[in-house]
Amino acid sequence: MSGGIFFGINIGVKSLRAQQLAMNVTGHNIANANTPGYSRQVANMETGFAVPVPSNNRWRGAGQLGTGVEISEVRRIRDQFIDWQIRAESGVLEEWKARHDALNQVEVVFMEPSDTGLSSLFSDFWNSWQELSKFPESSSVRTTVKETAVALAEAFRYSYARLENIEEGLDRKMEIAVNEANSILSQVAALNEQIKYIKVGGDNPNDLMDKRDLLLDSLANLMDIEVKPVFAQVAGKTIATGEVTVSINTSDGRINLVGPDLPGGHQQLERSGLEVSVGGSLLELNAGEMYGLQKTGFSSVTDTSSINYYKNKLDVLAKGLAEILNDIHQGGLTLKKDESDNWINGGDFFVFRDAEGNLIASEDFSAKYLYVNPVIEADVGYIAAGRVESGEEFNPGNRENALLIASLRNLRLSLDSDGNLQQDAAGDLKFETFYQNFVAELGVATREAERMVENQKTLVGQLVNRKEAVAGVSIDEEVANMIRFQHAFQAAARYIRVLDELSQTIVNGLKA
Amino acid sequence: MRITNKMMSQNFLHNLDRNKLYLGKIQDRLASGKILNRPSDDPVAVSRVMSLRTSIEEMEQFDRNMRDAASWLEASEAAMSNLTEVLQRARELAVYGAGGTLSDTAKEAIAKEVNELVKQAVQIANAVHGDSYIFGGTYTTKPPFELTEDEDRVLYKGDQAELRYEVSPGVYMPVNSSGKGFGLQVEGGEYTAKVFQTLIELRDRLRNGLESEISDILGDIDLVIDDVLSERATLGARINRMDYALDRNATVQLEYTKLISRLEDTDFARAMIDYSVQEATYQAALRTGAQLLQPTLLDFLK
Repeated sequence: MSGGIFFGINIGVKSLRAQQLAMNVTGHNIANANTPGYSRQVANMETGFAVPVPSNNRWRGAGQLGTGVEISEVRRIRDQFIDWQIRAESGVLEEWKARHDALNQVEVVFMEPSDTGLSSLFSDFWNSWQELSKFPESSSVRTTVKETAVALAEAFRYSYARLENIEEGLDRKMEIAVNEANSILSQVAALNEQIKYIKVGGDNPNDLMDKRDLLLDSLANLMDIEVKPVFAQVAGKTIATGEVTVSINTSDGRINLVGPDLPGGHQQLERSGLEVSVGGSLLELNAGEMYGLQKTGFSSVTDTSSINYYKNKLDVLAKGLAEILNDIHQGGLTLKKDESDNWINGGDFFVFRDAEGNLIASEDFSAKYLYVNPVIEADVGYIAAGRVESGEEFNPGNRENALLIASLRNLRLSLDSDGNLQQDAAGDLKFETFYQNFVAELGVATREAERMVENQKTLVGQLVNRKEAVAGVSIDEEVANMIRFQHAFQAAARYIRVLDELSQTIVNGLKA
Repeated sequence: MRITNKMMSQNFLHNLDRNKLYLGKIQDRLASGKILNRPSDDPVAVSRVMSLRTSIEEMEQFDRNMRDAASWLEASEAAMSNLTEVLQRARELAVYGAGGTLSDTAKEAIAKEVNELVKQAVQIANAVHGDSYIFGGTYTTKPPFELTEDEDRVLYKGDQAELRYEVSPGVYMPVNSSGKGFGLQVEGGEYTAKVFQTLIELRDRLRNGLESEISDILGDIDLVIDDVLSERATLGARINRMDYALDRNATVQLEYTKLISRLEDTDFARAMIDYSVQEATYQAALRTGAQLLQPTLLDFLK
């Protein structure tokens, strides 16, 4: 027998050690079955380095004799391509989630169809003018006109303020997102450093790499980053250092947020409103929650998923209503007389003023400043319900102006080149259809966002399943492995005992 | 493909969530009775519902306008009817006064009654509907007809404007009869009305006139009565028109309401079926999940 008994015992010991180590890896897997970001690990077993054994009947030697088993490495099982796919798709998911979230809130502002929304306040308003056209001398009907107008103006201001609130919410969300991104960036940089040292030592920092991947997953939810491994030239060979760079698209091209060349290994993001920059270069995002926040928060008058679009629509409606109605109101006569006993003409019915009562310049007219003229609020006699041709006699029962204003409900309108409402007999809009149209646009935009979220969720869900299929811990599998290792361990122990008996035979049996 | 325990529990939870989401949606529909609760539920249907609602609300306003117009017209018609009675009584008295066998005292007594009729006619002409005087045009806040101190003339202070109600988009209905039935005329720069002047004339002739003069005025009284009757006919025709339009509006409104209901109301039978199907799915998912998630290989090893 070649190799000797002690050589054999050594094989047994190595086997015991290897099975035990594999068992430990199994234990680690089971322990981390529910740890987020954990990828299962396997102990790679390899045959030991074979040795040549001399022999009598083969002049070149007996050949190679195995020296048992060794654990070459413990490595994690993970598919980097799926990681890359998940990051790309979950970035899009988070973008649409942010947009859907904001649009959902906008929908609550315009809770249509309902009996209490802006639409029914509009109806009440026009109907009150109809009533006034029947009872122009009645102060209680005049008060109804005032009250419905006050309610309408208030609804305009309130809706506008709610939209502004949602925008402020976006700002706060962006602040949280930027803080989170910065925290992730510094953690990734720290992990890069640790991973490099362990990697240089020849080991696999599996758990640290899992941690880093988990952080990068979270970062990819915020913005569309690109992750690349770092290579270094060592003794003429290209080797991976284990570090990664994280880069982002900016107005000045791609910029590394994390990388070994950067001081401290990473850079910090800066925020100004919804704009995010790094080192003075503006981020140009295409996915992620931050991008979603920008899409909804950036002012746009053409994008139906931006909140500003609806603010602008409210402005156009408020301006158009106030200007066209005021024009007619001024042509009418009130129930008030001046010092020389002449009937007073109507003033502005609606005014644009701030909370302190200061009038707003016409270029800044906005739904948030819409009020009923305080003169009319104080005395409904200043509502101009009557209208006479020049030379005609005026009496308080005259209702021609009220009829004219009530008929504005069906006035044909169109949008002029500045996007403002104008009177146009060939136009296809009315005040109410203008409102209905943009509520419908809101509905379509929200539905589109909802559908995108659903689709992306399914897509990401499938990718996560694929990732789990590769990297996830299966308890059944681990238990089966455990039994495998247990059997091998038992057999190895048994083998050592047999060798022990053999050595007993030699030591004790040869004594006599 | 490897299937891990986490995958199984995640898929299970994901599907369970989806089931619950659908259940919640169906429950919402059943509880609120509406399938449209926000614009994104169905943007096209929502905008149709909004525009139908607007139309209905507008039509309801026109209904109110028509009913108010009708009641104004009815008030005018009633006043005209009372005026007819007054004039007919005056005609009877004129015939009686023209008889030729009456003493001066008897004539004076008739003249007194006619004088009362003048006052009554003025009162009728100053009829009020709600807060407004109905025969003064836009002069609605004060009595439009005024008997002078010397009871010699009845002056008209109102104007001849039409009071118009909008009864459907762009269609205006005059609701007042501004003095037409009273035969307004200009006399010495002031407005008077033939109705009253004829009665006053009759009174004066009874007091100091000849029988022939009294009988001459009968023709005038007949003309005045004709005027009033023809104005009554006009008012009656307008009231009929309002009734007809109200009926037609009611039919259209009913159609619109049905359409809205079809668009936004829950079909309860269908929702109930959806609900029970969804509930069965949910329970099946729970049951299989409970059985599937439990065992591992460990359960079967000694």
